[in-house]
Amino acid sequence: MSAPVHPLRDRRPAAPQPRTPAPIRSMLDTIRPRPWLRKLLLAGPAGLWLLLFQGVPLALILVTSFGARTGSGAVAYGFSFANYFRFADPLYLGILVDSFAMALGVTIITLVVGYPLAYFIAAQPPERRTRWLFLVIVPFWTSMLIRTYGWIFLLRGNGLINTLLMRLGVTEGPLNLLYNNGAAVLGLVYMLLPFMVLPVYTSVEKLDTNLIRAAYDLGARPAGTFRKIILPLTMPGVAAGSVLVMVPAMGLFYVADLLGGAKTVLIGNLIQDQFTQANDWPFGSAASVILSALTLVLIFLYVRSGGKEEELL
Amino acid sequence: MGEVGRPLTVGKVVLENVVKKYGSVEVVRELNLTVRQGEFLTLLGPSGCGKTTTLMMIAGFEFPSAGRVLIDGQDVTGLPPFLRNVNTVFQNYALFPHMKVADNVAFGLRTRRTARAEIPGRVRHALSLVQMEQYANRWPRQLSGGQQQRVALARALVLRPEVLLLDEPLGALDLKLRKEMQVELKHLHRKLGTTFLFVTHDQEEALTLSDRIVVMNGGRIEQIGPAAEIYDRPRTRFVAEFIGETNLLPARVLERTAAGAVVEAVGVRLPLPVRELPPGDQLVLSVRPERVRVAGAPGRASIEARVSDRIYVGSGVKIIARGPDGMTITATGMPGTPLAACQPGEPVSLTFDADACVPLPAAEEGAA
Repeated sequence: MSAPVHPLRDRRPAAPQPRTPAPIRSMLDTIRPRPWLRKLLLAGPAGLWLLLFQGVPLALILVTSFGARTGSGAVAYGFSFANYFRFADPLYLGILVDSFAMALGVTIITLVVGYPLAYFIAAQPPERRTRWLFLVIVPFWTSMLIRTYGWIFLLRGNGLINTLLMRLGVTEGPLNLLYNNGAAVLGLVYMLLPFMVLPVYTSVEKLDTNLIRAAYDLGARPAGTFRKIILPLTMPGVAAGSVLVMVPAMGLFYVADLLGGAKTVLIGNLIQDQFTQANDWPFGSAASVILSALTLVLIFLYVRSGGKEEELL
Repeated sequence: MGEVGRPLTVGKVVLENVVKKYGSVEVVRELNLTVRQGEFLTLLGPSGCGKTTTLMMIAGFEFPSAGRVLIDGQDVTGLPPFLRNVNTVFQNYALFPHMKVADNVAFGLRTRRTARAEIPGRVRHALSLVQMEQYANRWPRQLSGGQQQRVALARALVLRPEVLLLDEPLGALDLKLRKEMQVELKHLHRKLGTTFLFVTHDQEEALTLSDRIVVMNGGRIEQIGPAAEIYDRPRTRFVAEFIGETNLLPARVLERTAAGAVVEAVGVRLPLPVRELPPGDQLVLSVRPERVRVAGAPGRASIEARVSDRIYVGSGVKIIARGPDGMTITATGMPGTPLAACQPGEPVSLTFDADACVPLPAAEEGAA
C-alpha cells in the first residue's frame, strides 16, 4: 500500500515519532476519515445543550400558549388562539407599546452616551484601549440583580444621593428619585451601556483615520466629517449595539420592577406576573411568544439592513 | 507653464525654521524650504527622515513645534486642513468606501458649497483628466489599486488646489503600474501647471518625476537641486549613497596646484579642482559605477583588483571587484565593453577619470 518515498518530499531526517497510545490512535483512525463524525463531536455537546435547555423550553412555551388556564391555575392543553386574541386588548397592547417606547428611549440614550465613549476608547493608543475596555466590562462580574439593588441604595429617599443633596443644602427634603420611569430608564441604560459601547468601539476602531483626514483635506469641518463620513461608516456598530440594547431592554423585568416600582408595567413584568402572581401560564406563554417574535423581527430588520450576524456576537 | 510673470523668489509654499518635536524627539529640525510656483518638487529620503511629517505640516494634519508655514504668502501655521487651499493624495488612496466614484470626487465641491449646477461638469472633467469617466458609477472597492489612485487624484484636483500634496501615492502599486502612473503624473503636472509636492523614498521615482529634489535625512535637508545635479554633484556622502549606486573611495590631498589639488585614492593620482583642502587632508571620492572602466594597460592610474561577482542586469553587466586592502569596487558596463567580458576570479585593472570623481568631506557632518 505504501507509496515509495519521494526523495525530495522527505528530506527531513527521520525524527523519532512521539508514540501515540493505542486507544487514542484507534480513536483518531475512526474520526479522521469521517468528516461528519468530526463535526458531530465538535458541535454535538453544545447542540445537545441548546436543544435540551433552549429548544425544549421554547417548545413547551409555544405549546402552553395555545392552552388555557383551569380554575385551579393548572394548564389545560389545547389548540386555541384565545390567549393571543386576549393580547389584542388595548390594556396589553398599551403595555407592549410602552415597553417598546421605553426600550427605544433606553437605546437612544445608550447610543448618545455610549458612542462618544466608544470613540474615545478607539482613539486611545492600542495598549491603553484594553484598559478602558476592561473598565467597561468589569461591572459584568457582579450580578445585575445586585447592581440593581446598588442603585436603590443610591436613589432612595434616605439614599446616598438624597442625603448628600440635603447635607449640602441643595434640597430641603428628599427628591423622588426612585420608583418612577426615570429610575427604570436610568437602571436599564446603566445595565445595557456596555452592549452599545463594545460593538460601536469595534466599528470605530476599524475606521481608517486617513478617511477622516481626507474629509478635512477636502474642506469638511469636524461636524460635517462626523455626519458624512464617520457616522455612516460606523453604522454597522450602531445597528448591532441598538439591537443588543433594545432586545434585553424589553425583557429585563426585574430592573424595571425594582427601580420603576409598581407604576411601570412593561411586557417583561407582565410575563413575570402571569407566571408568578396570576398563575396564568398560557397567557404568560403567549406574551412570551409575542415578545420573542418582536425580537426576531428586530433582528431580521437588522440583518436586512445589511448588518452581519457576527457583529451581534 | 504657470504664471510666468511671477517672480520666482515668492514661494508657493515657504517653510521658515520649521521644527517638529514629538516629546523630546526632533523629527524635523530647523527646516527652511521654498517651493516655487508650478514646480514638481520631491521630498526624498529614507523612512523616518521627516519627509512625510513635513508634508503633513503643509497639509495641516501636523502642526510645527516652532517656525512658520506660508502658502501663497499667507501664514497658515495654525490653520486646520479644511481652511487651507491645498489637497492631498494619500498613500492608501483613502477613498470613501460608502460613496461611489462620482460622489467621492464631488465631496470636496459639496463641502465648499460649489453651485449645484456646476458640480457634475467639474466631476466629469476631473475624472476625464485621469481617464476614469466611465467608472463614475462604480464603488471604490470595485476598482483596482491603480484606478483607485486615479480617483484619489481626481478628487484632489477637482478643487483646483494651489498645491497638490502627494504622500507616496504610488507606493502600493506594482512596478509596471507605478512606471505608468509616473508618466501620467508628469503629464498631468505639465497640463495643469499646479504646484506638485511629492513625497517618496524611491530615488528612481524622484529622479524620474521631479523638477527639483529635496534630499532629507534625520529631519534635515541634505541637498536641494535638479535631479541631474543631485545625481552628478552630491554634496554629502549621504546623498551620494542614497541616490543611485556609488563607490566611496577614501582619498588624501597630495599637493596643491594652480587648478586645485592632486589627490590620491587607492593608488590613483588625480588632479581635482578642490582648493579648500591643505595637503595631507583626508576626503572621500564618490565615483559612480558606470564611470569605472577597464584600464587599457596596468599602469600608474589603475587599481589592480580581482573580480568577485559578475551580475547580469539586463541592460548591461555589473562587476563587483576586490581591490587592495579588501575594498570593493562596483562597476557597470554595457554589453560589448571590456568590462562586460570580465569573469569572476579574473584579475582586472580598473580606472576612472578625474571628472568622474565628486570630492566629499571624509567625516559625515552631524552624523547621529
